[in-house]
Amino acid sequence: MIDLLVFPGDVVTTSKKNEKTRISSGLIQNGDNIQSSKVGFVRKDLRKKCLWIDNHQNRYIPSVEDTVIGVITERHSFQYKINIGAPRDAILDALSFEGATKRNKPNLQVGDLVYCRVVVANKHMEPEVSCISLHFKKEWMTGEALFTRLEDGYVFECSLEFARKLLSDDCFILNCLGKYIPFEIAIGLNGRIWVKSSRIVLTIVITNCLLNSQHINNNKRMEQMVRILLDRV
Amino acid sequence: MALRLAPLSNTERQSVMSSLAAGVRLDGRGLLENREITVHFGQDYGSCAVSLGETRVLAQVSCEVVEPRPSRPNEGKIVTNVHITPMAGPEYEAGRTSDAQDELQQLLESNIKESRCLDLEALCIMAEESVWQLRADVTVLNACGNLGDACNMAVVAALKHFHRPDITVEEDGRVTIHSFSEREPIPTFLKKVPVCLTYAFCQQQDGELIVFSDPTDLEERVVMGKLVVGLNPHGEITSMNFPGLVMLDKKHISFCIMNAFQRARHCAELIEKLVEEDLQKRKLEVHPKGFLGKLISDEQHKRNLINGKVALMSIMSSQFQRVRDKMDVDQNNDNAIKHEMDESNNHDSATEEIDLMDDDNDKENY
Repeated sequence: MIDLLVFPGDVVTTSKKNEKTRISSGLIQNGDNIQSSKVGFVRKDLRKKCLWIDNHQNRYIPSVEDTVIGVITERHSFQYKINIGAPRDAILDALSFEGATKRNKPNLQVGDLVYCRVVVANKHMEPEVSCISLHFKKEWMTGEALFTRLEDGYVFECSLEFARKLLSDDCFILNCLGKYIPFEIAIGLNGRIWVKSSRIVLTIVITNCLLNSQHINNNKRMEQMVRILLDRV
Repeated sequence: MALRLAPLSNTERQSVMSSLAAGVRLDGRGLLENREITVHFGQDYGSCAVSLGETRVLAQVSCEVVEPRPSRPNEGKIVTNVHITPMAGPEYEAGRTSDAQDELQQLLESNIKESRCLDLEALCIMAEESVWQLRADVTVLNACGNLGDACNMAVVAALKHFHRPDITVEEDGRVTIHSFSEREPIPTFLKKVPVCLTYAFCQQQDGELIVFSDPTDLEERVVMGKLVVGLNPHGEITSMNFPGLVMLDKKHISFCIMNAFQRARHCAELIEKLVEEDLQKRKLEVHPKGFLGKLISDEQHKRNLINGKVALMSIMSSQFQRVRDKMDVDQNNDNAIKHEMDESNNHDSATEEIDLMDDDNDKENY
């Protein structure tokens, strides 16, 4: 069942009496059957313990506990409207930052980038995001919180499966780049990647290396490509 | 209904401006460097697809016999049309003409029609009665910045490539149009080759203007103003357009125009060369293949490009390794030092030979 190629309508599994199967993007429940609605491979997410369909997609459909990068489009007194690439803009509550009170909350402007976590996501409501982390409890004032505003750097869009590949444990290209250039990177599961490094030229090299690494399969060739681009600087 | 694009974040705007201030573009090009241009021709005469990096445009020229304009009874007609559909990008609406479409229509009209680059009197069949009307239809397949250059190049290449059917005029005034198999078709004659070049201006904090050419779609959204200049290698400027909100000095305009004249010659030569190549291939082939296998996706194109460059580099590096191994065999210290110096010189000159370009695009040096 895992790593099986399915087409829309294929029954992936049937729900059993005492077992609970959690399903995520690409799978729908039809009576007792769990059917696929996308073309792709069935995968099991070990962290969230759910089944999902892996395919090539550019359009992001939000699901809970995804970490995404959003752009603020509107500012209201108690919430922000934020664009995460989903069919509807998400809502970020103004107080959903660690240690934020009404008198002491971050002042985000329209057009700012925010790295945040999806809290509510279903097809009937607007998605909601939050910058409160469950594990890293640094306050927003320190600037070292995990989910926060992203300053400077450069953001670009990519396909969703490339973002997932970068987040996997054995990502070669990020380690390879880290050997040559110190940089900071935030990867949004909505297909947005933010990169920051000391000089803009280095940021451009990193961005181009990442985009090119989508097309190279061989690790040795990836390293050579990185060295070619670095030589030009 | 047009989908709105994702809003431009402050980060993107700042990074475009700071990268321009550093003299480099976000895909690694220089300020005055163009993206790679590829031109493919279709099966019919006058059908041409131009891609400028990721921007793609398709032009088709066709002809029909009509009555001439009463004010110009012995001249043919040419009509240009631009179609931008949601295929080009989600921000364009279907059926409604957008600003971009109006701009492109006007650009093509002034560059092609009003510049009189086409010999219209050669299109006359019988004065005051019948003339050829050439119709150039341009469809934007993918809009990724700099549509003006791409549309203009596509129309010019299609016009140069186009052949019209041969005709005979009888004594009693009847006109017979021969098919391509009966008689050889006649090429159109372009007196001058109009070229369109776009320059964009970005205003920095200190008030200085940075000029760069061939903007991508992200740069176009950030940029404050553009200069779209149409000219031909003979030295004539056919059209000039300044959309945007920038105050331009005389020195900026003259700089752009000098640069444009230098590049216009290369552009025109490139178009002529590619059209000639395709017409020669047609003479040899029984049935032209057209776009078959040529219109590959951007991903496939990039994959071929990157793997080609990296494979070349690995061949060169394995050759260096063999040279280095041969040198290490020599035990003599003095000789070893001398050889190391020679080898680093070899390494430098060889790396210059490889043309280490950014893997995203090939440079076409104008």
